[in-house]
Amino acid sequence: MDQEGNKRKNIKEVKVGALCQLCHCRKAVMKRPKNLQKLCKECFFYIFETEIHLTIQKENLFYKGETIAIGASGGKDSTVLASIMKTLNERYNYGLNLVLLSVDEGIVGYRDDSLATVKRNQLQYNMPLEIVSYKDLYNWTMDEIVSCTNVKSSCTYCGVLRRQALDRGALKLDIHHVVTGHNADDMAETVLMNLLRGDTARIENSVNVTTNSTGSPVKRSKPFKYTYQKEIVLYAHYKKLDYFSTECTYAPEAFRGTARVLLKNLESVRPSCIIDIIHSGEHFKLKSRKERIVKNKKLQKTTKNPESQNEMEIRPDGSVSISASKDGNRCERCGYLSMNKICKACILLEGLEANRPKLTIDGITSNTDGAAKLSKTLEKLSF
Amino acid sequence: MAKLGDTCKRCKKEPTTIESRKDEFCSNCFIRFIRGKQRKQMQDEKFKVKFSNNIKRPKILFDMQNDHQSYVLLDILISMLEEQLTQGPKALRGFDLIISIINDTYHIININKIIEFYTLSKIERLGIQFKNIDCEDYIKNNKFQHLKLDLPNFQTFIISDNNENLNSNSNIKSYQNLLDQISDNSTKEDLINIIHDDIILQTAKDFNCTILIKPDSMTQIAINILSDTIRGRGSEIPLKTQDIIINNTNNSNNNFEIIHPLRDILNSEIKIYSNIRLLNNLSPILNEINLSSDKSNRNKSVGEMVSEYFKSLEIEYPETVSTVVKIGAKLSNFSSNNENEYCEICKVSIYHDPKQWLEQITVPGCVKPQSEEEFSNLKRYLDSINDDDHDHDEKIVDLSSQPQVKLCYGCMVTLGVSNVTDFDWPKRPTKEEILSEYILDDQEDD
Repeated sequence: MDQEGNKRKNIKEVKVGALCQLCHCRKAVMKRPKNLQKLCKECFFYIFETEIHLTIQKENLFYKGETIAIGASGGKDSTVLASIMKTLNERYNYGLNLVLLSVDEGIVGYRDDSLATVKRNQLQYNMPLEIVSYKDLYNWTMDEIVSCTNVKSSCTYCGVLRRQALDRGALKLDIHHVVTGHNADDMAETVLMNLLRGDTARIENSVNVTTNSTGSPVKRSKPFKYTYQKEIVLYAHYKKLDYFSTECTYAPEAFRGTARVLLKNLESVRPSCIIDIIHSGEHFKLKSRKERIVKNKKLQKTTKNPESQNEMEIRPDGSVSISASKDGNRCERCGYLSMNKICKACILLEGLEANRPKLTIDGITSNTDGAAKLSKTLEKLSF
Repeated sequence: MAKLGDTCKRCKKEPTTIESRKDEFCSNCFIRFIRGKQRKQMQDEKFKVKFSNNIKRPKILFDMQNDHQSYVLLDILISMLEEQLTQGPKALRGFDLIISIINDTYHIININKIIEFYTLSKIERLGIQFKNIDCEDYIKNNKFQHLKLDLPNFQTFIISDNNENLNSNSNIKSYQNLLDQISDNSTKEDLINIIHDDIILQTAKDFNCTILIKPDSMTQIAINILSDTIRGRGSEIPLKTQDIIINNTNNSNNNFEIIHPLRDILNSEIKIYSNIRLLNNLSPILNEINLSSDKSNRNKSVGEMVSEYFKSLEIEYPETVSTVVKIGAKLSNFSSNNENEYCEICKVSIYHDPKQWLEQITVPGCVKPQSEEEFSNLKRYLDSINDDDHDHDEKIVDLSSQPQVKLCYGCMVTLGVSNVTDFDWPKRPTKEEILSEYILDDQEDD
C-alpha cells in the first residue's frame, strides 16, 4: 500500500490551473480555437462530436435508412467528415448507408495523390467508393483547362464543374443526398465574399446547412457549418486520421484570398469572429424585390411596360436569364438545374472548346500535365 | 486618352491635376464634382433656399467628429448655405445648421480654429451654431446599473440593492472609468459607438432637430457594414447604414430623419478635397498618415482591420467599396418575434434569442472522471474553489434571486471577448423612448 502511495506521489500531480476547464479532472492539452477554453483530449472529442450531432439533429438532416454520399477529397475536412459520420451513425443509430464519393478533377501530382488517400479511407472506414472524373464527364481535365485559360480563373471552372460532377456521381449511384466538409471558416468566408461581390442571389441563403433547390434531385448538407477549421485539424491530429494535407496547386482565386487573409487576421484577435459572421449571415434579409424596384426609377419605368415581362436579360458573361421563377429551371443543353437557359458549366465548356488547340504536336499526348506535376518533378531533382 | 496635365474637359480652362474614378479633374471642377454628390443626397425641397420667413426651415444636427469626412462635410454644408444666400436679395438659408461636437478623449475638436478659418461673420451670417457636448455630463446625468454576466450560461443579471438610486453604488465617476472596464480594443470601439449614438440622438431631441446628418463617406459605410457583420451585428446594418425616417405619429411634417450626404464619396476623394480646401490645418489628426498601420494586428480593433482591408483593395479592386454599400442598402430589417425585447446594452431589438442560438451550437457537457487519479484531481479542484469562496464570502450574490436582462448577440459576444463578468452601464432609454412621439420605420431615402 505504501509502495503504491509513493508511486502515486512520484507521478507529478497536475496543477489545478492546468486542468481541463470542462471536466476539471484531466490535464488540459489544447486551447479550443472556438473560445480559447483549455481542454483535455477526451472532452474535446466529446464536445466536437456532440456539437456536430446537435447540428444534424437541429436541422433534421437525415432519415433512417437514407443513403448518404460523403464528398471525399482526401483532405482534412472530408476525412474527418467520413470518420465522424461513421462514429455518429454507430453511436446514435442514425441507420444511414454511407458511401464515399470523389471527384477526379485531373490535376496530375495533386489529385491522384489525394485520391490514393481516399482509397485508403475506403478500407479504413469500410465504405463503398465511387470516383467520377472531369475527363469522363466533360472531356476536359483541370490541367487542360488551366493550360487553355489561366491559373487565376481555375477556381471558377473547378467550382462550377465540381458541383455538377458531385451531383452526377450521386445520381449514378441513385443517391439523393450529398454531405460535404464545408466548415465554419468556409461559411464565414462565403458570407464576406457575398458582401464584397454584392451577390444578392446568394446573400440570404449562403449559411444554410442544407441547400436543396426546387426540382433538384440531389440535396446537399454541411454538417460542419459551426465547426472551426482549426478544430477539424486538431481532431484529425489527435485521432491520427489519414489525410492528404497539400493545398491545391492552382492558387486560390486572388480576390477570395484577400478575404481569407482578413478572416485569419481577425480570428487572431477575436476567435469568435467566425461564428459571429455566420450569425450575421443568418440574419441577412433582402428588401422585397418590389420594394427595391420601386426605389429604382429606371426600373420603375420598365415595370410599367407589359412587353418587358417577356424580355430576357443577356448578361456580360453571355448567360441568358429566364424571367420565370429561378428554381426548377433546366439547362437546354445538358438538362442540369440552372437559373439560366444555358447552365454555367455549359457556357464555360463552350468557351473552352473554342480555345482548344486544333492540332497536336507529334509525340505529345493530349493529356496535358499541369503545374502540380511540374513542381512534383522539380521537388525530386537534386544537385 | 486623357492624361493629367491636359485641359480639363469640364471647364475647358484649367489643366487637370486630379485623377479619380478613371476621370481627370482640375481642382475647381473636382470640388464642384464632390459638392454635387452631396447636393444630390440633399436635393429635397426642405433643404432648398427659402424666400420667406414664413416657410419653416428644418433644424439639422450635424454629428461632427474629428476626422477628414466631418471637416469636408462641414465645408460642403457651409458652401451650400453660402450658395443659397447668393440666389437673390430675398434669399434666406434653407435650413438651420447645428453642429454637435461630442468631446471625449478621442475627439478633440477646436471650434475656435474652425470659426477663425471660416470667419466669425460668415458663421453668424449663415446662422451656424456649435454645441459642445461633454461626455462627463452624460455620465453625471445617467443612472448606472451593475450587470453581472454569467458568460458560460449566456445570462445577464442586474445586481443592485436599491433600484431607487442606482448611481450611489456605481464605481463609474467619469467617462474614462466607463471605458476602463474594457480591455479589448474592439469591444471599446463598439461601446464608444453605442454611447456616441445615444448622446447624439438625445442632443437632436434637446435642440428640436428633425434631421440628423452623419458624416460617413461611402468607404466608411462599407467599413461599418463589414465590421457589423464581423461583430455578429448583421441584423443592425439597415438601421445603422441606411438613410432612415422615423415617423412622427402626431405630425407627418415633423418626421425625424437620419441621412448620410457623403454616401457617394470615397475616402480617397475626401482626402483630396481636404487638401485642396486646406482643411488639414484644422486638426492635427488630419495630417497623420496611416494611424493604425503601425500597430500590430493584436492591438487593432475590428474597425481598424476592416479599414486597412479596404485600403488594400483600393488599387486592384476599386469597385468593392461601392459594391458593399449597394448590397448594404438592399438589406432589410429582420422581422422579429420578440418585438418588445431590447438589448440592455445597445437597446436594439432582439430578433433571435442569442442564448438559445448559442446553446444550440455549443455543448456544455464534459467527459466525467473515470480513473482514481482523475477523481483525485477533481477533488483538488473543488477544494480550491471552496477555498476561494470562503475568501470572498461577503461578495457572493445569489444570482438566481436577481432580475435577468437580455443582451443582443453582438453585445453578449463583445463583452464575452473581453471576459467581462461585472459591468456598470447606464440605465438608458431605448431609441424609441428617446423619440417617444416617433414610431420607428426604416425607409431608404431616395
